[in-house]
Amino acid sequence: MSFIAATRSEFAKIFTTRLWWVLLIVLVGYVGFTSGLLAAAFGGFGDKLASPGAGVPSLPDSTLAPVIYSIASSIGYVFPVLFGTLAVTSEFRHQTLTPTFLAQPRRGIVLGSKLAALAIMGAIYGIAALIASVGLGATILSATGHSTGLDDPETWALIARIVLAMSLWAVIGVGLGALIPSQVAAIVIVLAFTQFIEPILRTVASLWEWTAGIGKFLPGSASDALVGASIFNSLGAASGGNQSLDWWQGGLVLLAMAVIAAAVGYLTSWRKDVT
Amino acid sequence: MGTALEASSFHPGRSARDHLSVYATAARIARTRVDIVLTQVGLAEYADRRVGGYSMGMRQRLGLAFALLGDPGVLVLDEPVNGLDPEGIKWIRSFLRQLAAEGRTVLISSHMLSEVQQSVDQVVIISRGELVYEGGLAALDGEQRTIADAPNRQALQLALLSAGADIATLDTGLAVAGLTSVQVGEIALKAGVALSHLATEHAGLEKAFLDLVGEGGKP
Repeated sequence: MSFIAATRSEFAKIFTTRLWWVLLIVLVGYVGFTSGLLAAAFGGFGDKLASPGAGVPSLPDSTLAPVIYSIASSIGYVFPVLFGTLAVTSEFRHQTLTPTFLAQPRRGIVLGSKLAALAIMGAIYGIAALIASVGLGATILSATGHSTGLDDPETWALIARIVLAMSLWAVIGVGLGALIPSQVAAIVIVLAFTQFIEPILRTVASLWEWTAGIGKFLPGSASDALVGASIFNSLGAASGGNQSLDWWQGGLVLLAMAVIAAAVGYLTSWRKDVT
Repeated sequence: MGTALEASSFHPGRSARDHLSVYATAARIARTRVDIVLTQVGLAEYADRRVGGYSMGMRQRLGLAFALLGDPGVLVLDEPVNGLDPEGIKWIRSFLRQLAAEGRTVLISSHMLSEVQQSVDQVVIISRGELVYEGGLAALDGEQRTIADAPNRQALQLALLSAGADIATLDTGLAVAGLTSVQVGEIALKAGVALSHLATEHAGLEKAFLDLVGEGGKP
C-alpha cells in the first residue's frame, strides 16, 4: 500500500539525518535538568525553607509529582513542534519535495504519511522526555522522602496523556511547516511564540476573568489542560483567575490546530509547483 | 519514466545511499536497485558519504542515479553536463549513449549547443513555448559558405562578382554564399587570380539556432 510505503519513506528521511537525535538529546537534557532542579527545590530544600513559614511556595505531595513529571510536556513541547516543522521546511529548503513528489505523485498521501510519521516521533519524544522527568524527578522525590505517585494509576494516566500531547505537538509542527515553508521564518515564529509571546499572553490573560476564558484556548494552556498538570498552572493558580479546559477539550483544541494548520498548508504551499 | 531535473535536490546531511533508499522506499522500488544504480554511475565508492561534501560532478551523477532507480524506459535530464569537468562530460556522454543503445529514450534539455551537437540524434527546438524545429542535426548544420582570399582581393572580388556570386566582405577575406570551394577555385583560375586562402565554412548550429529562435529571444 502506497501510504505505508510513503510513511516508511518518511521514517527513512528522519533517521538518515542527524536532526532527530540532536533535538532528542537537547530535549532530554533540558527536561531532565529542569525537572531535577524543580524536584530538588520543592522536594528537598522546599521543606527546610518552608517550615519556618514565610513566602516560599510549597506544593503538597499530591501535586508535586505530577507537576515535576509534566515538565516533559509543559516545557518540552517546543521540541516536537520544532521537529515537525523542520521535517517539512527542510524539504522546501533543500528542494527535496521534487524527488518526493516524483516518487509519490499524490501529494495528499505524502502529507498524510508525514503527519503519521511525526505523530509517532512526537510520541517517542514524549517517552524520552518522560524518562528524563520521571526518572530524575521520582529519584529525587523518593530520596527526599516524598511520594513519587508511581503506585497511583492516575499518575500513569498523566504519563499517557503527556505522550499524547507530545505526539499532537509534532503533528502541529508539520502543519506549521506546511503553512510557513521558509525554514528560518518557521523556526523564529515557533520559538518566539512558544518561548516568549505565549507565556506573556497566558500571564496577562490570567489577570481578568474574561481574558482567562480566552486564554485557556491558547495552545500551551490547552496542552497543559490535556496533560492535567503543569508548572504554569500550579504557580499561576496562586495568583487566581486561572481557568483550564477539561483534558479532552485540551486535546481537541490541539488536534483542531493540527488539522487546520495541515489543511491550510496543504491548500497553499503544498500544492504549488515545485522545481 | 526517470527524471533528473535539479542537481541540488538533496538533503546535504544524507548519504547518497540513504538518499536513494528514501525514494526507492516511497516508490516501492526494490532496495537492490540502489546499489545497482550507484555502481552504474560510478558512485558506489562514495555512497556512504554525506551529499553535502559532494562535488558538482558527483551530484550530477547522483541525480542520474535517482533517475535510473526505477529502471525507466524514458529518461528526462535537465542540463546533465552542467558543472562537469571535461572528463565527466566525456563519461556522461558515453553513459547516455550506452543507455540509448539499451533501447531507452534519453531526453536531454540543454542550452549548451556544442555539447548537444556531440551527443544527440534528434533535436527539438522550442522557442517561447512553440516548437520551431524538429529533426536531425545535420539538416540544421547544413548551410555552408566558402571563404576565399587573395593577395589581390579586389581582382578576386571582381571575378566573383562577374560570375554572379553573392559576396560579403570579411576581415579575413570574402564570404561566398551558394558556391562550393571548387567553383570558387575555378573562377579564380579563369580570372588568373592567385588565391591565398580557400575554405568551406559551416554556419554552425549556433547560427541556425539563432536564426530559428531570433536574436531577441529571452535567455
